[in-house]
Amino acid sequence: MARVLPGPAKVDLLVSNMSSLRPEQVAAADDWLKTMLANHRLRTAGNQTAEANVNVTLSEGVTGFVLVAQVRRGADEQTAIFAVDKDGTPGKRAGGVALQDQLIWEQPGKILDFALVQGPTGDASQLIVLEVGRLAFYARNAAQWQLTNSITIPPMRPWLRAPRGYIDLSHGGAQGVALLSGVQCKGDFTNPSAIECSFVSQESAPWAGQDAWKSRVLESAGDASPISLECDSRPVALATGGGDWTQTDFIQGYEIGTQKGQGAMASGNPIEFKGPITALWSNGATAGARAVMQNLQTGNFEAHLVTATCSH
Amino acid sequence: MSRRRAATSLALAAALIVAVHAEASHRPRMGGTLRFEIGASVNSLDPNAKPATFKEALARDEINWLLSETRKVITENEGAGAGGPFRVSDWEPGKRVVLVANENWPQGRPYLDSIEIQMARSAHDRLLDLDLDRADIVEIAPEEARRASERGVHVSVSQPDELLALVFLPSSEAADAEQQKIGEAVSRSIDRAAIVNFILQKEGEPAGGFLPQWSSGTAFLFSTATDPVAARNLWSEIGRSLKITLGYDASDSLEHSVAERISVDVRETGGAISVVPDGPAHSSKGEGARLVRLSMSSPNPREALAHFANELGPLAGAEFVAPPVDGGPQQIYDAERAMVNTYRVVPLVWLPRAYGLGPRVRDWKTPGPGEGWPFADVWLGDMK
Repeated sequence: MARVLPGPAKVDLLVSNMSSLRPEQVAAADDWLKTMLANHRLRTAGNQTAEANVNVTLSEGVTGFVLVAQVRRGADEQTAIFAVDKDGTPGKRAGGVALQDQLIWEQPGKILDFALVQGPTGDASQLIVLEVGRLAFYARNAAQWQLTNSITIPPMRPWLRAPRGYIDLSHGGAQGVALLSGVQCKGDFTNPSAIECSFVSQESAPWAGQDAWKSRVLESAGDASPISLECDSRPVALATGGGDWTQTDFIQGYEIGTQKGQGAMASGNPIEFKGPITALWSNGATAGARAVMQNLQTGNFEAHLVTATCSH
Repeated sequence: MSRRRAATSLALAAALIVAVHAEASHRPRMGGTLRFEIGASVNSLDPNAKPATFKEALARDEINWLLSETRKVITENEGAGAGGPFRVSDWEPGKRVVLVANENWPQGRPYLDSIEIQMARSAHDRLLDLDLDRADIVEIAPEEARRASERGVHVSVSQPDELLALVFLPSSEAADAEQQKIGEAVSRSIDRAAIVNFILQKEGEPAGGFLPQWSSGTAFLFSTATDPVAARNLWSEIGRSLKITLGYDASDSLEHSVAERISVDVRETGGAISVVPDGPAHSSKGEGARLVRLSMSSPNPREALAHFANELGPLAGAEFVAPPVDGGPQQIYDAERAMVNTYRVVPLVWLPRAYGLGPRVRDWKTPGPGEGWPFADVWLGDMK
């Protein structure tokens, strides 16, 4: 802004919001703007006569937030526009099953499932992404995941329009299994060249078991999965909404009644997602689930880890 | 907690579960023929054949997209062998086309077995067929969407992504400065809000620039307000009496209504526009102008603006400069502002695309800019 309004000057600053930013984020932006103005020897006029009017509008387009500064000084008016990064911080909630969401990975191509492999220090050192016809292996390099290896999974026939997939590392990375419609790939997932794929029946596929469980316990959910957590001695499950894949979605925690006829009760606040959840799997012994979502705004597929805790 | 309160809590929880999950499973199902009706009459899939109307061009692109799944255009013969989700199995030019699923489509066979597209159906007949379950999806004109929804039709409306604009055709009669004043006088005369509220029945948005607010986030910087005082001053500065001829697509009732409205608005500020169906193709005597409908090519504001600059510049005889490939929001805004300030093209309104959906249709996502009909993902469920 200093390039359109060189200081020192007293300005009348008005900030308005026409974006989806929350009030506290707008207040933070207001504070940041005042600091920035001060750094450029511009200060708000208060009760004094302003030498310029600065109208700042926080707006939003498909590529992100924009900050629009309209600077009016006498008859002269200039407009400066800045891109602002989107902040996807999820909200916190209290009571019942509290959920936290962590974006692990996103890509344009379809993700069927993903898995994180713990390194010796306990941090995730390897990311495995199961795609339609490919198993991709990524290694952590500083804060980035870098592709280190991939294997092609040959189709038995043209892939289904909506194939399903599942990665099972319950016996460790050395005995990994990746399943997708009609194909099973087994082997040492820490040494991808040793993985072998073969055709299998779909009757015992994990999604068949998951669908059967959902039908019994949470029939009306889209997808549902029990997780390794109990709240007040009640098993906890996570479930998606029941809309189709053109709609935004959510993940809701449920406490499953242990007595006959109790059923499942929604517990805590749901987490909202910007697109449909296309896969939801319990994340093994950790209290949470792996969720794959297609972001309707970007079109990208996103791998999320949703962790659950009991909140009182 | 008393037993009664506990029971009440459980009942409330159960009700909550039912309310949260109103619909059953969302896994797609294979099979079935989807019946789709449109207003346009596509006479040829050949890209070299000149379409009679904007609507025909749009529908032809949509059908070709299903046959190739790229925006590249193909000929009818190529269509049968191209690598899209569907293939043509029956073709009656201008009336009907039947598409069948491509079993070997690399991205997975579509859920539907086939799609039967009926063309040249009137707006009334399309809605009637939807009511009588003779169609699964029908196109609805934007101005009809609200009324259809009030009648109980499940209407799916896109973001407004089609620009209706008034384009001044190249003129040798007026100097550049005068052309700009004429364009500005017309632009400031037009009551865009009235066009949206009354003609479009509130389905659409006034357009002051070449990008909608949802795309760029900066559309609010372009005024859409009518300014009759400024318009009158501009007409008096121009001084001489002008004959402006405004053409529109005679088969498009929306364009007709908007053209008549513009004529009234301009007359009220001291100008004069005569409305002519299907004309003029160029400025012969006086100022010639045309109403033009143009869809955004992409939701990305830079790409969409570049497309509009490339399409509208030659039409208006103006040199519109597209924003640079790596341009940020400031560069996009500057390029858009420069285009608007020529007043050779006057943005009027943003129109959405609207479709009426029958009870069996699942996973229909009204196409956005640059997207085709999403029939590869649509499937047919039970009647709701």
